[in-house]
Amino acid sequence: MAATAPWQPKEEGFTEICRLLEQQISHSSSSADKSQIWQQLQHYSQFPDFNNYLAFILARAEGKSVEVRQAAGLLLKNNLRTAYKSMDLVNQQYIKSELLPCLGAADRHIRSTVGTIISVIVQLGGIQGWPELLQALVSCLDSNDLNHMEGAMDALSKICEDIPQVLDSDVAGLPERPINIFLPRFYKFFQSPHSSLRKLSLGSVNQFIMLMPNALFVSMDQYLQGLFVLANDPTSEVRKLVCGAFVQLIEVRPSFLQQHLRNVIEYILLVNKDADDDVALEACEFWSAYCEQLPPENLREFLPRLIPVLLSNMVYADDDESLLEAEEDESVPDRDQDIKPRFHSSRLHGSDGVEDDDDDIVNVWNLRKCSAAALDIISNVFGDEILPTLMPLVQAKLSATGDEAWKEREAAVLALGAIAEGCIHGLLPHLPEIVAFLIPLLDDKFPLIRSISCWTLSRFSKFIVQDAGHQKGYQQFDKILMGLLRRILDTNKRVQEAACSAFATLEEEAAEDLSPWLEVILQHLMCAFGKYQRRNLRLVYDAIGTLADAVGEKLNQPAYLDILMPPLVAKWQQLSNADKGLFPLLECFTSISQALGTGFSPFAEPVYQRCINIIQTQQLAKVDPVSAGVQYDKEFTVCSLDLLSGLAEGLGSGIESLVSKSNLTDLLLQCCTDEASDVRQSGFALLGDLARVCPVHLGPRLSEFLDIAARQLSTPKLQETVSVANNACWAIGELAVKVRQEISPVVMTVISCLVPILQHAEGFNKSLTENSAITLGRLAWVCPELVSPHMEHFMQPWCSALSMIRDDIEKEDAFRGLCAMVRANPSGALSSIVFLFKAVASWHEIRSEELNNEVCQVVRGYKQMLINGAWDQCMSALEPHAREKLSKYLG
Amino acid sequence: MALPNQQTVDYPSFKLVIVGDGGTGKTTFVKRHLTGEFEKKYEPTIGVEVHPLDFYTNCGKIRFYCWDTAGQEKFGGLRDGYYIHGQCAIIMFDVTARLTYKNVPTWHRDLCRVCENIPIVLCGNKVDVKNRQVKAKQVTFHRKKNLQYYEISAKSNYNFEKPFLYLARKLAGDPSLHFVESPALAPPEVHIDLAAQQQHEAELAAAASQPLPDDDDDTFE
Repeated sequence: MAATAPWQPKEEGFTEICRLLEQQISHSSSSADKSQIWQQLQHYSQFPDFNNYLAFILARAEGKSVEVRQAAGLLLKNNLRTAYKSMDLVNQQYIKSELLPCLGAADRHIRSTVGTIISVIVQLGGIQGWPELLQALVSCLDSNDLNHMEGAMDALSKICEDIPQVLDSDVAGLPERPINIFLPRFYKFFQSPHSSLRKLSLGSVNQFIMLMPNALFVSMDQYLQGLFVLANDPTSEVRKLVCGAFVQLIEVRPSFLQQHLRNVIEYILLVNKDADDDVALEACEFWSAYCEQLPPENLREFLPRLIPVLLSNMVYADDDESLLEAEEDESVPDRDQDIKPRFHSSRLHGSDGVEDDDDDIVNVWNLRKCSAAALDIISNVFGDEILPTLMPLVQAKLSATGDEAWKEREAAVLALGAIAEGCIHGLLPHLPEIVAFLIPLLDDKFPLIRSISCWTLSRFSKFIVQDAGHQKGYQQFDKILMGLLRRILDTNKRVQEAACSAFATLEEEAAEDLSPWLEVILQHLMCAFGKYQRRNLRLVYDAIGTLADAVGEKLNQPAYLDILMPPLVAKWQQLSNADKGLFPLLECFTSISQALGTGFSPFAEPVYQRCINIIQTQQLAKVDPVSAGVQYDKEFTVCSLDLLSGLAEGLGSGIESLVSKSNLTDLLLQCCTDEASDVRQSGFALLGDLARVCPVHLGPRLSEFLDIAARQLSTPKLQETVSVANNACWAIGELAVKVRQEISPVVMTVISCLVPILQHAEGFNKSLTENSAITLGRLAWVCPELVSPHMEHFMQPWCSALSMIRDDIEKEDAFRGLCAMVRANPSGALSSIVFLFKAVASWHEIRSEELNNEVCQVVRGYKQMLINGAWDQCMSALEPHAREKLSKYLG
Repeated sequence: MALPNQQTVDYPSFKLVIVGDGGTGKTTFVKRHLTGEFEKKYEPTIGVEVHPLDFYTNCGKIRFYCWDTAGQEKFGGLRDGYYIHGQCAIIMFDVTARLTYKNVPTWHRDLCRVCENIPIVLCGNKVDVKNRQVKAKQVTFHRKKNLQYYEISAKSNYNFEKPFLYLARKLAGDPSLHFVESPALAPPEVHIDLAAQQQHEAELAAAASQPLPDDDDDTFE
């Protein structure tokens, strides 16, 4: 190759690029300017040597500001990411040669920028592509000059972070892997007097824990010794890295620590109390990791020292946001930014609960949270044996007097809640004392003590409810309930929130047992309803809804309705059809109407009519928001459909007169063809509910309903609209048992959709499989002559699905279909006979005498049919338990 | 620390860098703080836009110069070049697009390489959308890196002030600092140009369905 003159920048280009970069990073220029300046830079970037300029500016523009040089370097790096591989070798070479001398630049920003670029070049070109780099790094590391050592370490730490595997691979021309060259040097820097080098070298080695190259594996002792030496480093970031290393080791390679476990635990115990909260937090992560990875025995002897540390770290830190938030008075109105968007989940007929756990609280992570989580885990691992250590501490903290000790008392209450699950056996005998202690704290002067006491009491809900059967327990329950209700009316928003949430837990646990207190509960809830700000108001709606679900028809007493209904009705009248404030109210009425049953009749007509109006208005708004006068929002339609379902469920055939006077059938048909899946989902739920109570009104549009319902099952995107399919499937079954033969035109279409679902049950959720099995059975019951000729195609998966369903009315229907088909085509089940028997054996008890007789006939029939030992063969294929169940049907 | 021309007001001001994938709502978020305008359309940010946002605290007025950087690679401009002298940062992802959360570690790394030890807030935007892909429980990155995390909705203004308040407290070193009056915010629920957003979402969805080279699932433990 002919020698060419080395590349030189032109003065003009150099000056211009520097000027543009300066303007790009200055925040005085306007956005429009910035974009124009960027255009100009783009223009320069067309030149093949543009990146050379950038490298030159970074490396040599001594007269320019560091910011401009840094910006040039970062832009260079970004350009290299896309262009490096296609660049001229000469330019590549130039850039690399400019970078290496800067490893030791006097300005650390320059060094750091160079390190960032080097890591990117190694990512793109590998170690082989840059033979000079390793030599340069090694001589910098060995130079004893701080700038050079730091620059090289900076670059290496970035390579270790981005592409550690590259250092642990063979490189042509090198006798050993790069990591073998660097690791001893990293270890050496563990003892450097410069904290920056200790930090960078330790951070670099830590990056290899996951990868565990041989070099690290064989020097593990040295690494661990190094960690112990750094354990008491004066720089907190180094201590944090030491903790991080131990946590990572315990997570990925716990066996390496086995030998040193005592020392490690001693150390983590110590730094768990570090004055720097970040270090303490990193250390605290160790305990959960330990409990997951290693047998607990070795931790046991440390518990008397660990538990006090955790407890003291559970005290609120001065900078915890909760402290300031707890000062907010109830009279301050909530702002839009305080209101978390919430969603109504469309009605779903089936067994899969909707998980709805998007509580903000799960995302707050600090020493207090981490310590409480660790205590929770430890209590689950060690159970009651931690109590002798923990309880005296809790007691001591609880009895700490004086205002300044309130955080200690608060932490003690938190600790009691944290161990409520793990130590319940040991705590149970003392529950009355614990409760007696907590109840006065519900009225404490400090709001955060009041709120944590609500939470901790709710953690014992299950046992408080269990005990309520006997007199002492009843009194205890009464005190807790009354205490929580008092807190629901607290003047502090955070306490209101905690009390509502604790009360909801208690409601769900106690269910009907709440009945004796209904009046006082309603009085408190409705008082809160009158005074709460927007954010917490939703909690009251939830509490009312949960209450209605919990006590059911017990709520249907004039005295209760006199308290409950007037405020809700007033609110109902006050909100316009376009007010989103209606959503929780519609949900709340859904629960109430289901609970009250026919007791809801006095309120039914206006509620029904309004739902119809809302749906109608929204249908119009979708095409013409101006004449509708509202913005389209499908949530209104969904909530209204669900409330109508609630009415149908509650009123039963009592809804008939309302349906007959309205155009609901037409509206429903539109909803069932809506493009939004949640509208269809709720539409089919309502279709099923109406089919149950007043099928006659669906009559005129029956074939259309059946058609679109069947279509929901045959979509290629079934997986995405599985909840729609689920409800449509259920609705078809409900219609079938009511309209009987009228269903026959769609039977085979539907069956041909259900069979693939049953055959691939593992790909769908439990609810869809169950509903498909039920609906198939119902269709078979109504039209056995149509379905039974095809039995052989589906008996096996169908019977498997049936065996997973627990006893209920729907399962009875399905078995009526099974019996009807067997009567029509007994040999159709022969090839799946063991599955059929398993399905029969899945019944705990068939309540319907008539069905029970039918099933007996089926089983006996097959016993007669299966001759020559075939019956015995079938029996031996069944579990003993199933065999025994089945024998009941042989009489 | 001050850049040339930085101190343009006579009260404390800080450079705040906002980063995150394209379409996560960075621009919408800063523009909720009303200086009059609100983009109805989704227009990708080119390079960077700087918005001065003032807040009133019990210790006086402060200003954040919000450097709203381009999330999309092709419009990136200087990208991390804009982070220089950043004093605090927000990393934004979209809870309805999993990929935007998966990229958070990269944004965080690039940020920390230019700005060491600055306070950083992680924001999960679009919690107003019904079907989120990244559930609150799956967000764990902030635990490992000691960041503050907030769920926000630039559309409904939910938690708008929280990130600024956290950063202001950290920068002032005063945990009891608080805002004494709320800034004027654009009213919630302004409808964004749906067609553009849908197109963008389709792009994101397409991107999300691409296999990831570093598909480290431990971010979704």
